Amino acid sequence: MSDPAPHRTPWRQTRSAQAVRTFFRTLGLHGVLAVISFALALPFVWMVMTSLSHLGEVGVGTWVPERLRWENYGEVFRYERQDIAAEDLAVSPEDRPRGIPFARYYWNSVFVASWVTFLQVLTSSLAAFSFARLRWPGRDRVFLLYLATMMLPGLVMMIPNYQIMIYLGLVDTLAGLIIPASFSAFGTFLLRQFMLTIPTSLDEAAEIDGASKWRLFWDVILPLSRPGLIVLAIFTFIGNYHSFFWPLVMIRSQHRYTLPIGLLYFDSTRGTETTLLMAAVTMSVVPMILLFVLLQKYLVKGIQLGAVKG
Amino acid sequence: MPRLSRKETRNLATGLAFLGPNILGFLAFTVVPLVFSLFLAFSNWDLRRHNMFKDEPIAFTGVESFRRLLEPGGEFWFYLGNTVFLMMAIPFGIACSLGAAILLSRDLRGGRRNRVAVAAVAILVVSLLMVRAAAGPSGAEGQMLLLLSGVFSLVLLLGAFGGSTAYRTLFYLPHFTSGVAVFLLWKKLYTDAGPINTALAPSLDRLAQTVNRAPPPMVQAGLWAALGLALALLAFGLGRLRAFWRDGDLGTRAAFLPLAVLLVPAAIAWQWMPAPPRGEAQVVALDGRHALRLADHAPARRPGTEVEWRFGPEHPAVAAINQALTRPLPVAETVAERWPEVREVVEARVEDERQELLAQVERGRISGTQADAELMRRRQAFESEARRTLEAETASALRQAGAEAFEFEFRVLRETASPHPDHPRIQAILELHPPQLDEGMTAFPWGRQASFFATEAYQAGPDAGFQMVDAEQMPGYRFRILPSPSGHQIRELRLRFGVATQEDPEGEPVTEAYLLDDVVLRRAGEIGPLLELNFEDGSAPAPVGGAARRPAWLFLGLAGAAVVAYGGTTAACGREFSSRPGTGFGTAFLLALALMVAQFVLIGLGLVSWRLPDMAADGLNPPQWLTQYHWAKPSIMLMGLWGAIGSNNMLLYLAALTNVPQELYEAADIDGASRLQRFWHITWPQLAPTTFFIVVMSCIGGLQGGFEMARTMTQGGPAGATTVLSYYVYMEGFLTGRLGFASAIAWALFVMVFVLTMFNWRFGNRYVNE
Repeated sequence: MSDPAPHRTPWRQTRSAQAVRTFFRTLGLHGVLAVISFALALPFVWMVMTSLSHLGEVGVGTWVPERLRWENYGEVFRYERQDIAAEDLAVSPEDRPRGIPFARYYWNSVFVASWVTFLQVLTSSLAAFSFARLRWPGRDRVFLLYLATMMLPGLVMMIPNYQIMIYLGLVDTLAGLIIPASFSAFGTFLLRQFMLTIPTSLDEAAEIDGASKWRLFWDVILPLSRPGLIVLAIFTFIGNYHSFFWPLVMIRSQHRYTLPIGLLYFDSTRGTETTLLMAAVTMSVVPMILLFVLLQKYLVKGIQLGAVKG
Repeated sequence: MPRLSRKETRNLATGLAFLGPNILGFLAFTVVPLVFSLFLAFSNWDLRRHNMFKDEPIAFTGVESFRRLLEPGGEFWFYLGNTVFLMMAIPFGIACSLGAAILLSRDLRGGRRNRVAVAAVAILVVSLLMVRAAAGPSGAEGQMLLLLSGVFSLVLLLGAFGGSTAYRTLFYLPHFTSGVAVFLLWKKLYTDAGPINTALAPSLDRLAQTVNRAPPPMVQAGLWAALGLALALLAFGLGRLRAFWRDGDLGTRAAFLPLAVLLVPAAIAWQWMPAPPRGEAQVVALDGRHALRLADHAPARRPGTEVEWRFGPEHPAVAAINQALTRPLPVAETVAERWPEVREVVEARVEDERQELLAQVERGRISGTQADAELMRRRQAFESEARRTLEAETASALRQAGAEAFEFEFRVLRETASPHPDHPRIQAILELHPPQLDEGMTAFPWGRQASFFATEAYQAGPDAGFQMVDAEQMPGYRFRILPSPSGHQIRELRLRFGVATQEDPEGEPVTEAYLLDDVVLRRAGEIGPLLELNFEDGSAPAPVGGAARRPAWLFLGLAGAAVVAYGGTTAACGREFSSRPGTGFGTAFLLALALMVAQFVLIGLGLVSWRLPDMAADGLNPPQWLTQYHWAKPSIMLMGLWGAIGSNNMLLYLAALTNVPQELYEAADIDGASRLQRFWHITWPQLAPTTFFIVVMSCIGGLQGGFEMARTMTQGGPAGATTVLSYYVYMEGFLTGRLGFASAIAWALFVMVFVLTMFNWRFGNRYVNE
C-alpha cells in the first residue's frame, strides 16, 4: 500500500499563479489605457510640432521639422502697430511682422478672468452665507428664484444684456466683460450647498461667544468653506478664460480683445500662417494644462460633487 | 403682508445685507434682462429700424415672431435639425466615457511587486521602441516613427509610474482645454494639408484598389448584411421590452416611448436613399433643387490654371435669378446714394465728441495727442457703425420689397501662405452678362478682404443687375447677392476660378497654392443649392440609385412583421405580473436608445458599402472635412467625441463606480457570472441613475451648444450645414439686428430645455428613488 499522493493544489490556484495573472491583467490594462491616451494626445503633439516648423514643412508627411524653430513663438508677439511711421512701412515684406498683440490679449484675458473670479467668489460666498446660515423671512422663496433662473439658457439673457451694456456705456470695455459675469446664481448655489454641510453647532458656539454675524462669516464659515471656494474659483477662472460669446459681441477694439477673440482674429487675418497660429494656440493651451495638472485634485472633486454647469 | 417682529426685521436686514451685492447684480443682469427679453420676443424691435438714423416706433406684435419662427419649412426647423444631428454624437460620447471610466476604475497596481514588474516591462517596451525607431528607416519616415514612439513611451512611462491618475489626466485634457484654441487646432487638423488627410490618403488608395478588384455585388452585399444585423438588434430589443413588460418590470404606459425610439430606424427606412437616377444627364435633381453634373469639366488642379463654368438662361439657377430680376421693384436706395446724408449725422456726432474731448484737454485730463487718437478712434467707430446699419437697411428694404437674395459661397482649401499679404491671392469671378452689355461685361474680381468685395460690389451693382450687400469671411467666402431693380436679364452666368501662382520671397513660384471645393449658389434662407459645383472631383454628389431602395423596403417590411408578431404573441399571452403603469422607464429607455444608435451605425456602414464600388472607381479621396456640406457635421461630431471620452461624464461615472457595492460583485463571482453578465446585471443597473442624469444633461447642453465651433471653425457653413440654434440666435440678434426675432428663438430654445428638465425631474427622480 503506497502512501496517498501528497495533496497538491493545482498550479492555477497557487499564489504565484495568481500573481502572474494579476501581472498580465494589469499589463494589458496599461497597454489599452496607454494606447487610448496616446491617441488622444496626438492632436496636441501635432500642434507642438507644427508650431516649431517652417511653413513649407506643414503637410508633407512627417511632423518633425528639420530644425526646431523656437523663433516662431517670438514671431507671434511681433505685430504691426497701428501708429506705425510711414518709413517703417518701407521694410521688405518678409521682415514685416506677422503676429498679433498676443501679450496684450493674454493680459486682457487674465485680467478679466481674475477680476470675475474675485468678485464672483466674494458676492457668491456672501449670498450663500445668507441663504445657508441666516434665517430671514422670504429666504427660501428668493432662493427658489435663484434656482429657477439657473435653468434658463444663457442665450435668453444675452440680447437684453447687450442692450443694458449699451445703456450703461460699457460696450467695448473690459468692465463690460467683468461686471455682468460677477454675479452668479450657480456659484451661490454651489457654495450654499457646501456651507450647509458645515455643522450648525459652530454658529451657536459663535453666538454664545457674542460674535457678530460678520465675524461668524469671516472667521468661521469662510475658512471652513475653503475647498468649496477653491472649486468655484477654479471653475470661474477657467470658464472666463475660455469665455467666447460675450467678449465676441462686446469687444470691438483690437487692443481690448481677450485671448479667444484674439486667436479668432489671428485666424481670420493670417490663418494661412499655420505655424504661427499653432504657436499661439500652444501658448494659450499650455497654461490650462499646467493649471489642470496642478489643481486636478480640487477639480475632480468639484466636478464629482456636481459642480458642473450644464 | 404679516407684520414682522423687531427681531424678524433685524434678521431680514442682516440677511439682505449679506445678499445685497449678489442680488443687485442678479436683478440687474438676470431678472431685468429676463423680463426685457420676454418683451423683446413679443415686439418687432429691429436695429435696422430703430437706430441712430431712423426711429420707427417699436410695436408690440404679439406672437408674430413666434409664428414666423415656427413656419413649416423655415430656417428654424433646418437649424434645429442641424442641432439634433450634432446631438446624435451624445450617445457615443457617453458610451466612450463609460468605457474609459470602467477601464480607469480597474485596479492598475495589484501590490508592490506587481507594480515594479509592470514598470520594468514598460521600460523594456520603451527601450525596444526607441531602438527600433532609431535603427529604422532614416529620413522623414524614420523621424516620424521616432517621434511617435517617443510620445508613446512617454505616455506608457507616465502611466506605469503615475497609475490611473496619470491616465485620467491625459484622458481629461482634451475636454479641459476645449475652447477657441482647440477648435482652431482642429480646423487645421481637418485641412487638406492637415495630418488627418495626409495620413488617410495612402490607406484610402489601398482600399480603392482592393474594392476595385472585388466584384461590385460582393462589396454591395455589405448593405444586406448590415440590414440583417440591424433587424436582429431590433428583434432583440422588442424581445427584451416584451420580457420587461411581461415580468412586471415595465409598466404599460412607460413602454411606449422606448418602443417608439427602438422603431425609429425602421420608421424612416423609406428616407435612407433619396435617390435620383444615375446617368449621364447633365442636370440632376438634388434636394428638390437642381445641380449640375460636371463630370466632363473636372478641372485641372494645377496652379495658374483657370476653370470656368458657364450657364445659360435655360439653367434652373439662372432662370431663378432672372425670375427674381423681372419682378417689379420700387427703386431702393443704395448705400452710395444715402451716404452723404448719413455722413452729416456722423459728422455732427464727431463734432460733439470733439467738443467733449477739447473740454477734457483744457481741464488737463488728457493730452492733445491722446485726444486726437481718441477722436480718430471714435470717428472710425461711428463710420463703421453707420455703414453697417445702412447696408443692413438697404438689404432689408430690398428684401421687404420682395427681392430675393442669393447666396454664393465658395471655399478655399489648402492655402499655401503667401508672403505678400496684400497680394490678391485668388481670383474668383462671378460674371453676369446683361443683354445690353455685349462686350464690356461686368466682372467683380474678389480679393481677400471682405470690405474690398463690398465696395467693389456697390460700384458695380446697378450695372451688373446685382447688388452685393454682404460679404463675409468663412473658411471660404459667402456673398449675399440681391438683384437690384435694373430690369436686366442674365444671359449667361459664368463662374471662373483662377488658381494663382505665387512667388515666395526668393522669387520662386510656389506651386499648388490654392484648391477650391464646393461652389454653391443658393437662394438666401433656403436649404439646398440652386447650383452646386464640386471642384475636388468635378462631380455633383453621386446619388444612390434605385436598386438600393429594395433593401430599405425589405427592412421596413420585416420590421413591421416583427412588431406585429411580437405584438400578437404578447397580446395572446398576456402579462404574468402587473406593475404600476409608469415604472421601469429608465432601463427600457436606455436600452432602446442604445439599440437605436447601433441600428443607425449598421445602416450607415451598409450604405457606405453599397456606394463603395462607385466611389472607388476613380480612386477614393479623403473627405474635405469642414468644407463639404455632408461632411461638416460628422467632422464636428468626431471632434466632439475626442473631447467627450475623458469629459466630466467620465469623472461622474468614476465617482458612481466607486459607489457600486462590492458585495454585489462578490455574490456574482460566487454564482460564476461572466464578465459580460457582471456588467449587464450589476454595473449597468447600478449606474443607471448616473446615466440618466448624464443623458438628460448632455441633451440640454447639446441643444444650447455648438456656437463656438460654428463660429470658429465653419461660420455656420457650408450652406448652413453647421448652423446650430445658438448660432442662429447670434446671427439674428447680433449680426442682422433683429432683436425681437432673436429673442423669440432663444425662448423657443428655452421651452425645449424646460421640457427636458421636466422630463428629468419626472422620470429621473422616480427612477433614482426606485
